[in-house]
Amino acid sequence: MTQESEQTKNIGPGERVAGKWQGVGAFLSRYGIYCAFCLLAGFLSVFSPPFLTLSNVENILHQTSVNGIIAVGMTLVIITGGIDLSSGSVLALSAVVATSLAHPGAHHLAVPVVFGVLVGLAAGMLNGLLIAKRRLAPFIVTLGMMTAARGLALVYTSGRPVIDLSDSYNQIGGGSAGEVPNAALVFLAVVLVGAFLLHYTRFGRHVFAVGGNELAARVSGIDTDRVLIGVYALAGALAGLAGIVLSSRVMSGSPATGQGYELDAIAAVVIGGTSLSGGVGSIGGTIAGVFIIGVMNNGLDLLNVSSYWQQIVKGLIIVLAVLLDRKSKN
Amino acid sequence: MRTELEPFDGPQLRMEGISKSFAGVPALTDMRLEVARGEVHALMGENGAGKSTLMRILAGLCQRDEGTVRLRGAAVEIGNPGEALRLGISMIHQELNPVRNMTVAENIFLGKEPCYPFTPVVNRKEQRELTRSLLSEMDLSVDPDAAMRELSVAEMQAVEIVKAVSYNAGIIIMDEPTSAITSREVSRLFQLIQGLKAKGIAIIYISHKMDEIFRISDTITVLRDGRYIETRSAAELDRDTLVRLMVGRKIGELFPPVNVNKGPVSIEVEGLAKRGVFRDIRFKARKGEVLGFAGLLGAGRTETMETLFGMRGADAGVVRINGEAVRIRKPADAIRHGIALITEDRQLKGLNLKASIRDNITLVSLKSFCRFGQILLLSKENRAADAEIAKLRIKSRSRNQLVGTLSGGNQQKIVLAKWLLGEPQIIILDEPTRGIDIGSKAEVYRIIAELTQRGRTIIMVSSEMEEIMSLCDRVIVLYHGRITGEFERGSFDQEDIIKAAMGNDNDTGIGAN
Amino acid sequence: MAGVAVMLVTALIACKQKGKTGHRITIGVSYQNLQNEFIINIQDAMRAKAKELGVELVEADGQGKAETQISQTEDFIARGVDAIILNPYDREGSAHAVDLAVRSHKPIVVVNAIVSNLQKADAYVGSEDAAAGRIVATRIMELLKGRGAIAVIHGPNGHSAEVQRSDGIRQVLAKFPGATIVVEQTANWDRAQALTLMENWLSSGRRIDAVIAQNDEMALGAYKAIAAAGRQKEILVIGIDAIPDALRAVSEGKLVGTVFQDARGQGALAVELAKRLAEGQKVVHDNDIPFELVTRENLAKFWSPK
Repeated sequence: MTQESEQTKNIGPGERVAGKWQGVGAFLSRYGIYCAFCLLAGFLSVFSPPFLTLSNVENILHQTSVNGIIAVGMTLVIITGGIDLSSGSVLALSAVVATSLAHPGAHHLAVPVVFGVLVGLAAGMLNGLLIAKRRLAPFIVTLGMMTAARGLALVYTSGRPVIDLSDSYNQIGGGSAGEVPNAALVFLAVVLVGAFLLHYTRFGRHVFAVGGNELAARVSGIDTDRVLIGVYALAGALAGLAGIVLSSRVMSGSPATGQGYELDAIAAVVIGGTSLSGGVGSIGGTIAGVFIIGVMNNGLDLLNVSSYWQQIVKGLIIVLAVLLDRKSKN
Repeated sequence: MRTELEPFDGPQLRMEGISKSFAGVPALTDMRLEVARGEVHALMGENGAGKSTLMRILAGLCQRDEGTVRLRGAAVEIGNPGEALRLGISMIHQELNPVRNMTVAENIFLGKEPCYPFTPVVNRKEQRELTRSLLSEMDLSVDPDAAMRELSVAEMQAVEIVKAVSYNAGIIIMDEPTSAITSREVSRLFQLIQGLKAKGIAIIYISHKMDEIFRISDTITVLRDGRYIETRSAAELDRDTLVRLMVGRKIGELFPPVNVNKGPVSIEVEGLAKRGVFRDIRFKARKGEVLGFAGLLGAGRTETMETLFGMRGADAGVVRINGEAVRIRKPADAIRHGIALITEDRQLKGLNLKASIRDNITLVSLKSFCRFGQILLLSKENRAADAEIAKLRIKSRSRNQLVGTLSGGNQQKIVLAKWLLGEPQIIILDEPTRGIDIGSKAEVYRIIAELTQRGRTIIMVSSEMEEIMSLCDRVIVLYHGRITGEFERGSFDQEDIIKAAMGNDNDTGIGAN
Repeated sequence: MAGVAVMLVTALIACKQKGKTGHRITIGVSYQNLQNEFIINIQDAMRAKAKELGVELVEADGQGKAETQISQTEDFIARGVDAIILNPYDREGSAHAVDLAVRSHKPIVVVNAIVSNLQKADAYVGSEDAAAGRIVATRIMELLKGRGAIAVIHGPNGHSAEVQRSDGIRQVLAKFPGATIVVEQTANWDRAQALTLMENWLSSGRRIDAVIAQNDEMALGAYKAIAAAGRQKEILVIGIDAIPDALRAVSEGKLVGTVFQDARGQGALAVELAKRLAEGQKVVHDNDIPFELVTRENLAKFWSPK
């Protein structure tokens, strides 16, 4: 919220000039997240030499893609002041539907992909409709969807993972184009489209408007219902896409997968500087958050730190991010 | 229960050499203030002059950097609001914040409830009796057991004052006390204040409303840009001088001349009704004309305008724009037909405080800055925003500054810019100058005049009589959701308008006020 | 008021039901987690046996939470089931369910996994998880000729099977001074987690000769990472459970083996024992159904290509 320090002329009554230290604070609040990422990466490359190898970087890209795809959708949802707790379950539902259509020789590759994304889109739209039209709290609606989608996935597969998938399906999330993992390419595409949508289109501006002040947005003539439905539908579709990427990477569509993924996405979004109260945020920040978490997990694994400590560290980072966010707002 | 103050010759309060900076930026420089026992002392100044900072220091909400505060001659340190209360300084904020679910008595004695001896159990009977006697001392007929949320804003305010008195206040600070109460209630408040004066309590009164200031205050101190300017007794000051002291320059005519060239009828409303809120609303307005809507708080003016604009559904009614009947079911429809609504509560309904000036200004007309209807042309947007900032003289560092950091007057200008960018033909203004300083007010009036000269239609809801009478060509008065009067310029009479606002002695309006 | 009336009516109807059906034996079953394929196999076996014996099963999914299993046990007791079958999730946490059953004089059979107060239960049917750990570790030691760098992928910490399998693995490896566990971590029975974990281990440049995963899902995940890195000839992978996907992997030489846990045997015997206990008979306490190592050699016994 603080601005870069500038000349002191043109200050009207009731305004403050940014002092010298305020300039540093402003820089940190905007770019701090990227600084943190560089620090973390630097620290790890010193203490764990394998960190900077090409294959490790590929691993990081693989490992962050799924979370990253979900996090892009989650960013838009959180900017509108809402939240989506159903991402992990929708991911599982889409995964089982897609994999059930991906047996060798069954269908063209496009079929599981399209259906998987459609399942996610449908779930997201249902979320959006209930939230926009029925004015129900996003937390409650998506919590319900979280349980229902998981249940549907279990019913659809009778509890067992879908296996025996075609090799071409594996390519989506597991293959590479040269040195670059396909999963990362999908992730990159999602990031580019998401960033463009959010920051360079009218729809994106409307998303910020609805999040900043929904009533004022409505008075200004914006169809807030359509914005909300769109945002949740997109989040659902992206969770579906993430499900396809994940299931193709592990070559099994498990109804039990994806548990807790929504929390990882929310963590990435919050660490990246998007405020949970809505109206402010960026895709770039989210991506930084995704990579901070991914790099941290990867690095701690390399250093053979137990997963319990890893969770503690992740929790600390989230709290730190929120504290910094709160400070910068004051 | 109340100790009598020993007699002391000299001012009740003397603040000297007060300086305060926030993050290196000075808010107050060498400020002083002297308040005598039992006087009403008004603090005047534009937004940002330092009035609230000075009062916050006095009320213990922030700490001064330099200077002394003397109460009845003795230097004091006021570390927090609790200490301020103990020293007899009470502040009644603009946004009242009582505990709504508790009763009047519970609120007044919050934190100092009378208990049975040696127990933590509250003696409700005594609490009620004490409250009753406090209320009757101030001549108030509020039920001590009523829940705060059942009270009107004016009653809540009165309770806050009683609460202040119960703390043995020697000084009560009132910040914009009349911004949300009716004129009848304002008179009651002033009666209360007279009662307080009689008890020797000093009132520091902050308000933008000049007529009230001249009505109630004994002394006026003017601040400007964080510095002390002058103190004079109210009797010696007149309006123009006061404005000049506050603003530091001659403001010229506050109200520009009224436009004479009127065009054809642009909007016609007939039979607009909403069950339980208003009915039989009919009026016409012409191009180049300012049509005013007067009435008491709660008369239904805002509701009418919001219904006209599509924010609420109407039960009946026909609206014609330039002769053609139109259906307005949501704000987007109204906007399409060239109507703009600048709501009375800019922070609640008018602005996105978390967004930049540019984003707010271009929001309504965003489509016109897009290619293929979706892709934003940022440079075009930036140019337009800069142009509006210059045109309306919005004081800011850049178009990227967040709107939440600006003063009330500038915020109001941004709301205007947002709507005017789309070149609306019919502009509805609901209390356009509420809570903004005199300098910005003049700007708003100038803009209104310009718009009428260019053939736009202005519909203005206002509770400031002076504004109505100086700007409007015609005035329609509402009472309890019904039109009770219609007046033309030339035959304006303040008494008639007020009478119509109060129902013209026959109460056939809708529902309770 | 209406709610209370509904509740009363429902209770009355429930009471009537019990009397009406004469006396068909009811057995309450609390599964550790029905999102686990292996446990579903046990469930199928139990249902089949129950149908065969003419007993009624009241089933509940513990969803991986010990406290849920405790509540479910309390509910069974309140309902008046004739016997209880507990498939415990947590060795310590689920133990209280046994105490509850004993206190209410309800016969209780523990199946598939152990609890700390196992002796208090009326019977136990299962495969000793420590044995499974010993089997896989022994197989790896055979293949590595007694020396090498071992990576162990664990189940969720504190899980009954995890604790025991870890014990078994350690017991065997301790006998071979040339073998060391160089890394170990949990992947919570999850294929994707194991894949990520293995990837990172491979990146770390540590030498790893074999991976012992405490279940097949994790073994398969680890294998994927190893294959992606092209190192499947260097690193041996073994798992436990003998789920179909793993059996196929064994046939293709991807996994060097897995351990067959006789879900059907466990489930069926548990129901039989519970029925007998409900009828007042005495039964043998420890009923061990042995684990069997599955390798390419004896694969045909357990699996045939579709």
